[in-house]
Amino acid sequence: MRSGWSDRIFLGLIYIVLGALALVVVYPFVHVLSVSLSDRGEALRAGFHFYPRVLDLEAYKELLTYPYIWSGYANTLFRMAVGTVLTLLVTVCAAYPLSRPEFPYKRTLVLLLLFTMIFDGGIVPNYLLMRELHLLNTLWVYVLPHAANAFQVLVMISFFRSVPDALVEAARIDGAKDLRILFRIMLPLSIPSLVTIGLWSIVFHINAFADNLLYVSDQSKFVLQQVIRQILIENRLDPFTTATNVVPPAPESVKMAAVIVSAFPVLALYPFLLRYFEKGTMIGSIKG
Amino acid sequence: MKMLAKHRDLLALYLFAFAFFFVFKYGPLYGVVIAFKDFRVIDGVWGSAWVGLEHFRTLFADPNFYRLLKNTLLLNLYFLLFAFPAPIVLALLLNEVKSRGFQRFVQTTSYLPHFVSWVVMSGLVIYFLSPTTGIVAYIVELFGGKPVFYMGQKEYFRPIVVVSAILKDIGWGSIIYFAALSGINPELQESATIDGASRWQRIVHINVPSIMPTVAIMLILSLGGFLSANFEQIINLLNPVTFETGDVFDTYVYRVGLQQFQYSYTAAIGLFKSVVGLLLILGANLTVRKLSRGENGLW
Repeated sequence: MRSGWSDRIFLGLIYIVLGALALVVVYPFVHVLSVSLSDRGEALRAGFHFYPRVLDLEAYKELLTYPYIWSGYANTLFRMAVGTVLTLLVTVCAAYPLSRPEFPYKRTLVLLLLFTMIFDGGIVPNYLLMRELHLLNTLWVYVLPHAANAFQVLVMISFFRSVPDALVEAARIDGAKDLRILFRIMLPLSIPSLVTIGLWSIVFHINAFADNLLYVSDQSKFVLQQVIRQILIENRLDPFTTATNVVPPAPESVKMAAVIVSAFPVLALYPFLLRYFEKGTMIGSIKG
Repeated sequence: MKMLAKHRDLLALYLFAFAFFFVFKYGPLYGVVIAFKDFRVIDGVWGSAWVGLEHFRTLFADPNFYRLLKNTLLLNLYFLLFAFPAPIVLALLLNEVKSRGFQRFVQTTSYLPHFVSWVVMSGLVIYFLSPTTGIVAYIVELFGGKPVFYMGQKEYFRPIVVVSAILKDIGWGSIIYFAALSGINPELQESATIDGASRWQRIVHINVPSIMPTVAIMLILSLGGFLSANFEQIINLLNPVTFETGDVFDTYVYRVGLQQFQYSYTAAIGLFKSVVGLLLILGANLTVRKLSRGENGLW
């Protein structure tokens, strides 16, 4: 081979670059975990942290006595559960008719949804709308607006279209009506895609905080991310630092514990996420 | 009409779903009119007096406006130049790796930050860049440098935003390009190798051209969120010191509009931003269609 050597050096460089990328992504998580588990002196030490040299759970104890962590978890759980069910419901209801070739005015009806992907009113008009609908400072403001998602509808349409038409025809000959076809044939065959879109929605709801920032000021209705934001970014640790502690944990430890506590649901779901997300994203983006 | 009656179950399903789109996506469009009014909460959207283009006149005379315009455009330009190609480069590199295990390892780890919220990601950026306990300061000192307070330095703000955005989504974004690359006919690679093409030449002449249609579509899609995509990130990284280089339309509208109740004026800013964004998408689609002689593009 003429260029064998330069090829090999090139390949070697690729391995080094990719290895470095993996390291840059993984290391922070190791660091965070080990600082969150370290005692005060160790947590405040500058430099790399690969494991906690002096194990100390004070940071977690302190963090978990903060009542808003728990209400935050509950509110996040609410938006995850209710939001995901609602999203799936709306997505299926929009996508099924649009996936049926015989449904009239399909093109126009799809365009009506597509338009919402391109143009949005902006922060202030959205705020005023939530105000007029009396959704400010309610948990509903977290779930209702996100049920309308044109991109997910497009993905769902392409999933439904991939179900062989012969199945639908056969059911129709047997006398099944549209709704029966949807529930008995389409939905059972689309479970993987429902899981995919459901997981998208779950991850969105776990991490969302912008709507909390814009529409909710009642601390008891804050979602987990917003509570974590106050601790991590706004440095609001003081309202709950317990004076009874002889050696209070380092603020860094509490912050890192907050990171772990908030990222925990995603990390626990990670194996499932990977399997369905890769598949779903590809199907969604290539066909949609 | 008869057609609709025949499909009334389907129609009912669609209408149920469309109601959500109508209220929550079309609904805000009616609030946009306050950009042309002197909105007062007690009078409501329709009751407030019309003022025509007055808010826009104030806008174009406001020095803040040019700072916001510059910051928004520059940040988005940097995203386009650096953050958009990053996943493409990663996919091209990953595609060269022969070891399946190593490939999976790099992929699996590089997806991870995508699933973490911007709150956590920004918090970590601030923590790792801290001049006292931050790992970056530690490394800088190790090599004899003098660490600075990166988050409090306005010239560092844009690079920090762009680099952290790349780290968060490089792996996730690469999935789609990686899929496109694995769809390339292997015979093409083989015959090029026989003709004596080096690895680099094969990437440039086979792999890159093969994924161009995917790149074009992703480019147009990314322009859809142009000018408003980074609100969650920037609002967390921004502090008063970095307003000068980091304040963008959305963060300003949030701060001045919602926190200081200047609804009409900031609605005008929002509308200006939406119109610019729309023109950019239309322009990009047209360009892509022209360049590919009508084969690519979203419509």
